[in-house]
Amino acid sequence: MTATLHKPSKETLAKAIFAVLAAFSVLAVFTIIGYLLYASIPAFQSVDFFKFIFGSVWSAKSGVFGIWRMIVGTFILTLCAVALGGTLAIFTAVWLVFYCPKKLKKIYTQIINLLAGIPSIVYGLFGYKFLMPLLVDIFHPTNAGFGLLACTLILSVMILPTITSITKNSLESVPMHYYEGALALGCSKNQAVWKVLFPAAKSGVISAVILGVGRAVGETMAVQMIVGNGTGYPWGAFVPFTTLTSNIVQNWGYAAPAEQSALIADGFILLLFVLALNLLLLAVKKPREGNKFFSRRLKEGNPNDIKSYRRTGSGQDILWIFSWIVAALVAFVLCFIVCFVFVKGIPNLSFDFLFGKSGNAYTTLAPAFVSTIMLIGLALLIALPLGVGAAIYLNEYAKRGNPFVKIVRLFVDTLAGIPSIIFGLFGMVFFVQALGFGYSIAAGGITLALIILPTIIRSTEQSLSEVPDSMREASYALGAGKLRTVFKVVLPQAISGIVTSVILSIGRIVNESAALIFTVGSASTFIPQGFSDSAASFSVLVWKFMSNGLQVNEAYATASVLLVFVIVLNLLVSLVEWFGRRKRS
Amino acid sequence: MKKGILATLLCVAVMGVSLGAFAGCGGKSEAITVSGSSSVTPLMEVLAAEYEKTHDVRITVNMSSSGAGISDTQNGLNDFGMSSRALKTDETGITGVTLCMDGIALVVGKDCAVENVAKADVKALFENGTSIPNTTITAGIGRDASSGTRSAFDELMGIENGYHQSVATLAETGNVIEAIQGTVNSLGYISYGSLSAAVKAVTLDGIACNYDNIIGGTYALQRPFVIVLKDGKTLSRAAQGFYDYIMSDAAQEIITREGYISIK
Repeated sequence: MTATLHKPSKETLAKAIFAVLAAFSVLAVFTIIGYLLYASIPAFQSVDFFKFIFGSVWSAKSGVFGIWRMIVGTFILTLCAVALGGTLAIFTAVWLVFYCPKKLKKIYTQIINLLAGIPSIVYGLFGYKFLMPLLVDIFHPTNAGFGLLACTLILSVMILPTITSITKNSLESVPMHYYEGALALGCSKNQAVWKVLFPAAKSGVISAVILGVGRAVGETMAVQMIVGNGTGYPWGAFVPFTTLTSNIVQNWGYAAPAEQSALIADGFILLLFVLALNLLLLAVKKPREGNKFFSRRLKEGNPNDIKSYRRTGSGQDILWIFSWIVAALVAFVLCFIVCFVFVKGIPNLSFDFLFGKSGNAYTTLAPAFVSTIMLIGLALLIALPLGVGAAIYLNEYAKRGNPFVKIVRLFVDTLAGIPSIIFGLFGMVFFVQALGFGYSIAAGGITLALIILPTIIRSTEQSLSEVPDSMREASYALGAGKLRTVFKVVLPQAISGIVTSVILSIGRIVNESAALIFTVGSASTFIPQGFSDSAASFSVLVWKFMSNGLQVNEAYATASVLLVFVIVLNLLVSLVEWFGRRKRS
Repeated sequence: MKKGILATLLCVAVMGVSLGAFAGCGGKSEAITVSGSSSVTPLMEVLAAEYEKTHDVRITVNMSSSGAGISDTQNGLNDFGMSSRALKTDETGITGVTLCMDGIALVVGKDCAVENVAKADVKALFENGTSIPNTTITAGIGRDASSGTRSAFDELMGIENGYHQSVATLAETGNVIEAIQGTVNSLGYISYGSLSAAVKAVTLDGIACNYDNIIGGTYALQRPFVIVLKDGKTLSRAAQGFYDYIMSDAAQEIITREGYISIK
């Protein structure tokens, strides 16, 4: 360490650099919105905006593009999925917080995390190969099971973890004395839960549902596989229809420039919906914090420990029974999906299929290992410094209440809410086409960096904020500068949060399919020779094996490898958190 | 230990990146890119695998659709393209060379009792959503708008105004097979060469989709597999070698073995 470290100029420079890193998210959101708008202008000019929105014919042959069908399709599907998935999720969250036996709680939280971690493409595979045939057997529809019912069922399971975990958080931050007060007034436990505590967490539940809507609107690969992409409207449980996202995936592969522009415009409209949802989220009132020092939150104690004196005798008992049923159902569904994929997949796994030489006659998973690692490496190399730098600025340098910080947080949240298909489209038109990267790991890695950036910023910021101020003060008192304090004192304390964010990011990358198909392509037969090569990660490979038709067994086998990754990553997160807790105590 | 974790993190990132750099340094064999029709792809992969046995090349077969294969070729994104239909007159700047012929098989689920369908009924099924009389077939499963199989099917069937809303349109041949497989109420169409035990082919107006009927011309639903070349572009030495190979007699033997109809 040289003396120059303490020169103010270096500190100022560091602060400026961190501020720029923080501003990057704002820049990224504006670039995505701006560039997609720019790329969709030709479509709005040739078709005219009004006709584009309200037209119901999409025909590349006659150059007519209208997305009204897709808007209605997306809207109805989202409505159904959120109604079903949201209800299940809220009951699951209530059960988890209030009724779950203490021993089960950790396991059940793992189940929800695992459900969140299953890749979209695996849900698609499950829907296509298990759910659709099952629905055909039960309802004997006039087609192969495509349509609203299958999509709603799959999508509601997919959005369930998002809604559950946010509802759970807001229920747990209800002050404990609400509960104790309700019991003291003679409520039974069920009455207290449903009449007092649940309404107290209302705004959090609403936020959760809005985030669920955002997830449903943007879901792509699973929906694309089971929606049927018909020309109809979803008036009926088994009518194949099209959504905004499935239209993009279905048609992009071969679209001529005019249709490409129309598809980007389709994505742009989707982006507008998502942005509107983000604004709506802002408008939802934040719950009153109360007095932090004198009111314990529910999460700090176990509501089950408090005796309820009246046991039964209210209408809310039915809700209590219902939440047990829902919780059991959710656990069953998860176990079933995982078992289904493993039972179908593991018998088809062999050493040769995993690591053998891959070629045109026989595609193995070896190229997918290499390309997935390359994607993870590149994305982390870009996103980790960006994200940690931004978090350092937000937590260490910015003054509290600084408007710039509010703006950055808003944009980080916005970035987190953008569906992966939009990132894919942006990566396609910006990195692949405009910057001339071509379908390549480089284009995919940068796109993925944008996708994981919000996770890294938030998680790092969170763990930085948990570092006690006394440590910083002690460091200053010993004569260390700000920069040195941050790197030598604060960051090492926050390391478990950063590690967690990296693991979560790896999970996100392993899961990703829509964004990669658009930026990395799907060349799967050879080990990529560099970052300019097209490649296929595991998720994309599942999709490709499905499309090939004669390779369903390979699709199952690849999906089971994916699930193993997901489970291992989930366990790693728990392990890191456990380490972090042990160190602190 | 804290440092250890941070170092591990960086290592993961650096390892990923250097893996790419390393791979780049490895021995380079000449690369050939072929892209287009998902109907032609299985055949092209077999030919590529055969060619790679004796030549030091890396052939990447990018499966998309005939439309994509054609536009990729026009834009110079591949060495040559694959199309599962004849080129249209408005597709300029490219030349098509027929590789072989292929039939379009009408398929139903294995457990479906239907053995024969009439051409007019199939047309009505896709155009108007009318169930095929006296059968369990109530829905058609089609392909996306850029599929060569679809445009050949539509043209041969005389379907001009798109499909009825009851028809699902799927992105690839494989999706059609997967969807049809377990049903008794759906009818779809796939490449004759992609037929497998997973689905059952039905006869069209009493004529079976088989080698003799396709080559004799009695089976109505047939189309060429076309190699698409960009006008005025000279193929690379490696690509020219592969192109010469797939047009050779040896390759045509493989084509016949794979269930397609050789033109020689």
